[in-house]
Amino acid sequence: MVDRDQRHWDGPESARYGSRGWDVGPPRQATPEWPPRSDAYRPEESRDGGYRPDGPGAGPDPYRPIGAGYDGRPSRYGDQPAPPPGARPAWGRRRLDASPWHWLLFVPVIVPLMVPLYNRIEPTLGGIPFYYWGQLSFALLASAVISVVHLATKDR
Amino acid sequence: MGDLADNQVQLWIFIFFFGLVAIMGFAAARWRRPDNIHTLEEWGLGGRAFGSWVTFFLLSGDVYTAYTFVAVPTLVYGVGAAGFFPVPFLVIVYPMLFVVLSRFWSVSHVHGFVTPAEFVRARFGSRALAVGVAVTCVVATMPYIALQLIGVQAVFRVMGLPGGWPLTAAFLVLALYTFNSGLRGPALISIVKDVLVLWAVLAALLAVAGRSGGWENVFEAASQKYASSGSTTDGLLLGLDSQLNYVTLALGSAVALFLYPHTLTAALAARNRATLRRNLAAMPLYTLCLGALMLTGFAAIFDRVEPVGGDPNTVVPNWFNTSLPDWTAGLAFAAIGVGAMVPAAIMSIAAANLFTRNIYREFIRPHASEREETMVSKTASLAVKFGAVLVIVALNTQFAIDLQLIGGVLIMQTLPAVALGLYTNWFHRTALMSGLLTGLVVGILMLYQIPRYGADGAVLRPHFGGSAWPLSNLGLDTKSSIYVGIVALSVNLIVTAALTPVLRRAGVPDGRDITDERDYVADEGDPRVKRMTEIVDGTPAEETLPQPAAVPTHRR
Repeated sequence: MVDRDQRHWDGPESARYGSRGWDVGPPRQATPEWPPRSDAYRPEESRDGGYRPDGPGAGPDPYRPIGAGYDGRPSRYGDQPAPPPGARPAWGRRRLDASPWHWLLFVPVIVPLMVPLYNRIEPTLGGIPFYYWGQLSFALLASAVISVVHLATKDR
Repeated sequence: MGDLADNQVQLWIFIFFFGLVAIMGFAAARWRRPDNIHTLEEWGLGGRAFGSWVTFFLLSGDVYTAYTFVAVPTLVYGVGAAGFFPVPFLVIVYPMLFVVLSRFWSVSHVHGFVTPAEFVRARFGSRALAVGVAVTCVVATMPYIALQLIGVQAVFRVMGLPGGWPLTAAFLVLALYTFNSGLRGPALISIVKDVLVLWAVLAALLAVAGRSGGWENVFEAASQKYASSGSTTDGLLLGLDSQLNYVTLALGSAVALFLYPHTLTAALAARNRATLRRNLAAMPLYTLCLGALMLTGFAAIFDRVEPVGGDPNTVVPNWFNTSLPDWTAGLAFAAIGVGAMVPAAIMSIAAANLFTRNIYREFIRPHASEREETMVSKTASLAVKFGAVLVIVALNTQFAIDLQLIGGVLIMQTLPAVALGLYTNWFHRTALMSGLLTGLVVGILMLYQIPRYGADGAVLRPHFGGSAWPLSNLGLDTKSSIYVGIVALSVNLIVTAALTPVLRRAGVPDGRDITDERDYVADEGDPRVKRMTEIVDGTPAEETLPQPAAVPTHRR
């Protein structure tokens, strides 16, 4: 099951994006053009929102793989070789936006799915059975909980 | 068919608002005018710079569509409690969106993604998977656009207009201003829509509450109707057999809503993460509006309103027409009409962007300029909308409803790659592809197995009769059923998770993840996002170049 993406090249991904978790092995050769020319991020020159400074006019592309089976088909992501075996980040890596406050969000997700909790007529509110106004009130609960979590995690 | 001569007031109010919206739609191109609208960032995402209010209107226009306003109260009218599932669904979806969408916003802004499939491409390094996701998204979205037409058609029927040409004319206007203004059009129009909806909801609540007996009598009448219907699936409360389906349907719909590309399009147009998060805190309140409208389904039972011309979707518009003053009914009709235009425009833009970014530029013209890209997207959005009109006018509405039913199940299958992908790149790309395909096949096969029964228990149609899969198919002795999408998604997840270690151990090449954990928390003002801001304003900001990795480390 090798698909067409599997063309290896030694593009200095690490130079482009900084180091990554699986970036093992010796430091890649620094490209002569780093840092790219200061006009490399001009929007009209960069094809895709500019995260890759290789648009037409950006001068010789420091990142174009040399040799390595690159067939001239431009790809926005480059041809992506596999990372070294075993170097892949696994589940459980700590995320930068992780927060214990997020556990609170389970409340407005779980409660509306507990049917026995609200599958009843009484108490009615202005003649409306609990089944209906109870479920509508969960909307207020969700709004309140999300607001609290938003305020608590805002400054990060 | 209603009588046009009796509905003059409604018709003129409808035409007035439709005209107003059309003018606004065209004028929207000048709203916060960019230097150059011929980029996909501008046309397809409104410059990615919408503030809190506009984002609220855009998201609400996306989620609470005309079809929702028409079909959901109809469901409540028909079966009672079981038809109330959109309320829990539209509550639980927001906490989920709250955590997931801000990560999607950040990574898309750092890398300039316009579609979810582009993200998948970058995260898992697989073109095949990205195309699989893109095609699934487009196929699932297109019938959704057609459904919006069904909502408008119901209003036209109640007013006594014929279905064919007014519908085509309405959509022609929509198509033209979307072509012209891009996402700015629906953003501006949805303000009108929300004002109209709010009025319709207030009027409906006042109309029922102001009567003698109020809601008590309404529910009494509904209870009697369900008791005498002979069907076991209806009632004011959920029967034991209906509960599993109710919960899985609510959960599945919530998952599907997040994955629909038009939700992501609206989210990406927000200016920063805080805008998005504030809005997701406020959105559940809109669910209250929908809930209030759903209760009018019971009021229609009480007032013995019958559907017009055999179209069940006309029940609630007809109730508005008979129970409220003419001008209020006209405003409610306009709300549904405008409410169809907004999501239809966003959906067609989302589908067009998927085509442009993930198919056209990936396979047909990789060197397409931004201008060409925008032209392709505009043309594709026209094509998508005319496809929808053709389906409704030339084929039949049931076909669109069936397709939408399938579409909801299909879109859920992109969850591992798109939603879980925001949290982990552990999955192997080939495993994701296998899971996606297995989920699609299982979902469609299960839908195929579901017949639709008439009121007397006779089989009306043998296949694609609904989304509730009877557990008795497994040989279980129960009348319970389960939402197909959840089962298909479970199969998908199991396949993906089981194949990943197998493929990795077998040494099948992995894709390379070009995103970085820091990309997922970047916000407006972050140097990583700055390049984006430049594009939006057209003025080069102060240069902040990413620092090269001086010392690549082995471990973070």
